This record gives sequence, C-alpha cells and structure tokens, in this order.
Amino acid sequence: MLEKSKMNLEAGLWAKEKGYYDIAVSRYYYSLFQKVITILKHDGFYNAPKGENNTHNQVINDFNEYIYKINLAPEQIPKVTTMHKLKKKRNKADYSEEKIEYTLDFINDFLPKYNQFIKVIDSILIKRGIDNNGR
Amino acid sequence: MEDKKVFIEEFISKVKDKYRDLIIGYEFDDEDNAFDIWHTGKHYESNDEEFLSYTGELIRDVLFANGIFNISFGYDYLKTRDMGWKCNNDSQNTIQITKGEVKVSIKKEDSIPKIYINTRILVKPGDIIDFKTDFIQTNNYNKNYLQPDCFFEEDLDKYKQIPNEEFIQAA
Repeated sequence: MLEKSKMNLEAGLWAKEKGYYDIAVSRYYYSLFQKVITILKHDGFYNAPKGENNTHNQVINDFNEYIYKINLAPEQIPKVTTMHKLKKKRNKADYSEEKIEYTLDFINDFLPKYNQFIKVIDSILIKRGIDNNGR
Repeated sequence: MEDKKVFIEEFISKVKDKYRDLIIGYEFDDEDNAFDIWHTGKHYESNDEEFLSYTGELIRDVLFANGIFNISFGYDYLKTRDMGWKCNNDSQNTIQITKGEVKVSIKKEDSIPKIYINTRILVKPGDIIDFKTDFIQTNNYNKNYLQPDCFFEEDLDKYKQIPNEEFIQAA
C-alpha cells in the first residue's frame, strides 16, 4: 500500500509541476489515504468498509477514533482532523465540472492541510517502523 | 444527530471563549455524514501551537470522548474570503468601503464599551474610502496593515487587511 502511496505522491508532484491541479489534489489525497489505511491495518484498527459509498468516510472516522485511542498529542490532533475537508476537495477534483483553482483551492486550502497532515502521518509510520512496503 | 450537536456546539463555544477574534461554525454534511467544523483563523492553524494544543484537547475531551468521530475541523479559506465583508454581531458602527459595508460590534467588558472587529477583513488596496465611527479611535486603524502570515506570497500584493487588533479601546 505504501508503494502505491509513493507512486501517487510522485504523480501528484508531477501534476503540480505541470499545473494540473485537479490531478495533483486527487493524487495527493490518495497518497495520504493509503498511508492512513496502512497505519490502521498495521495497528489492527482497519475495518473493511461496508458499501462502496462509505469507503472513505468509514476509514476517516476510524482514523479519528484511532488517534483518540493512541492518545495522540493534543497539538497534533487538529492537524489530522481535516481529512473530510481534503476529501471534499478531492471530490471536486475528480467529479466536479469546476476545476481546482491554484489560489482558491490548491495553495490556500488543500496544500497547507495536506502538508500538516502528512507530517503527522509520516511520524506515526516512522514510530511504527513501517517501511515502504507497508510491512 | 441532535445529541451530537450539543457536543459540537460546546466545542465551538469553548473555542470562541478563548479566541474571540475567530469566527467558527459548523455544518452537517449529509453526503459525508460528518460535522464540518470550520474557522477563519489561518494564522492560528499554521503557527500557533497553543491554539493547536487547546483545540486538540477540546476535540479529544469534548468530541472524541463522547464518541463523536465523524468530524473535520480546520481553517476554511473560501468561507473566510466570502465573509470578508461581514461581521456577525450587532452593528453599531460601520466601516464604509467602496465594495460593501463592514459592520463591527460593540462589546461591554468591565463596564467599558469596547469595539471588537469580529473577523479579518480583506480589502484590496484603494478600496477603503473612509472609516466612519463615533466610537473607535481611528488612530488605531491602519489601512496599510498587512499580516503576511495570513496569505501566501502571491496574495500579498492583492490584499491588505484591516487589523482585528484584539479590542480597540473606545474613545
């Protein structure tokens, strides 16, 4: 899973460089989402989602419960309770007629939240000793 | 859902008590089946460890501890931008600008009327034509005030801000 995450991040970076912000948002989001799944699976908190529509919502809510149960430091919690917001932006990127705008959507909204989130996620991965193959 | 709203509103109320310049609200998102709690304090979210700690503790103790995990919490750029011309309280004073009307509220603390601008207000350079009030000491007002932590570089030449300097002492 982490290998997929890494590839999605690379695709996101490429898309960002090209100015394809819809693709960048979508790939960044999936890169993050796959890291979240990896952590939940590693620590036994992953529940197979029931129904296609609820896949992401269930994982996000399970992750919120997970950070409560592992007693994540308070100052880290607001950095990782933004995933529903990131998902909404990803929905816009993937499904909306409107394009992701650089200033409105990407640089002022999505990216700061993503950057804060990913730092916490990466630190959890390091603490768990999970390598790039998700082992 | 109604029982969860009580806790969401308690959370919001406690954040507002401590961060009075913040506009914070929530919506229930039917599609995500989640509470979207948003605020207008980008500078808090990105730089203020005390804010992160305080809100993190509240998320943990008020929401998570009560089994509410279907939430998101964070700065909302679009709402902040759209609220640029609005404040949410009684309107005893008016700042007149060319593109709208910004209202500020009066709060009484320790029997001294104080004026509090509830939000950061985005204005484009040159848009401010006047700052009319009977109460605010206008020398506290600096239309060229700029808060670089609020915007990314590309925005700095587009926007300037009226400060929401805590409380502006009544004259």
